[in-house]
Amino acid sequence: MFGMAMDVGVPDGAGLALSVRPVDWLRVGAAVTHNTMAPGARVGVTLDPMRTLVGITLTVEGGHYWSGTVPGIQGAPAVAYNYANFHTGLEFGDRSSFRFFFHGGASWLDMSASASQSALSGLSNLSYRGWMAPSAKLGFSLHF
Amino acid sequence: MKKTIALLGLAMAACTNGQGNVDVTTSNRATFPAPVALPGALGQVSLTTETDVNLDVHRDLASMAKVGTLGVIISQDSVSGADLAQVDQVTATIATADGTMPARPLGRAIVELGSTEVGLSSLPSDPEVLRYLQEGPVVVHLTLTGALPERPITLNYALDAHVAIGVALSADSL
Repeated sequence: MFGMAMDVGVPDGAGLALSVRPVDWLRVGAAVTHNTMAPGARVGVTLDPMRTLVGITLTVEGGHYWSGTVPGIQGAPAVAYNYANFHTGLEFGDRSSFRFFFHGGASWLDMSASASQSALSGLSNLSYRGWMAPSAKLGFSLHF
Repeated sequence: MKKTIALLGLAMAACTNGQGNVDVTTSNRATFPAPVALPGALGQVSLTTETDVNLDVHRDLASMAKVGTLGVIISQDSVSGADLAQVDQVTATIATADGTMPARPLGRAIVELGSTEVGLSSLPSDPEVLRYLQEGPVVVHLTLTGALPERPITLNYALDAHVAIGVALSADSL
């Protein structure tokens, strides 16, 4: 069973996904994303074991954002990051057709920023690696 | 850059636990006045000259300290330039510009004949250097000794540090 989804959240940004359900309780998806700075990509797996109108899910995803500058900040450095989401979720609707969902949990971030030439303040090679919580997203999925 | 550090901190939501890293680089022109003679053994005369270089990274370090605990490794402390070829020895001291922390040796180096760049061996520990840099603007006093030309000398002084930031932010601390 194939489907699509749209979602928005942190650190994912906005995403448009295609998914496939090889079995009823498993959803595998891939998405293109955008975080207002640059495009990105994401893949993930969702366990959806409950055949009820309100379901509890577990989702593990990994994503990458290419380098982009923070909008509205002159001389902003270019930021890129990889992330991994570990989310539990509440999903409302029929998992075989339309569902609205809210996912939340924690994410692992691996972020780097390079200073632009106009931001010559003696700082360079800024990076961060670690956990952030909470991370969350909401959206809807449609399967056919 | 400070705005970006703050925004990145906010963008990382309510709680973060990890490690940040940033390189702090300073590069300053050091202009030394024409040297004066120092009498030496057996009538040998060595020339010496000295100058001050002002560094100020305390605001950037204060911004970083707001998001976590700082650790530092001095990655470069060097003097370079064509005039270095005639220098025998370089010594450096560091002090805060306002005098709250007294001058103490920062580094020294014996310059190989003909060299145009030399790294200063670090005398205080890296955390001690960080204390000076965090306190406020600092003055690095450089002294050159050797068979110096009898004219002003211009060199470049660089002090670079790799700063690790242990981030443990909660919603209360933002």
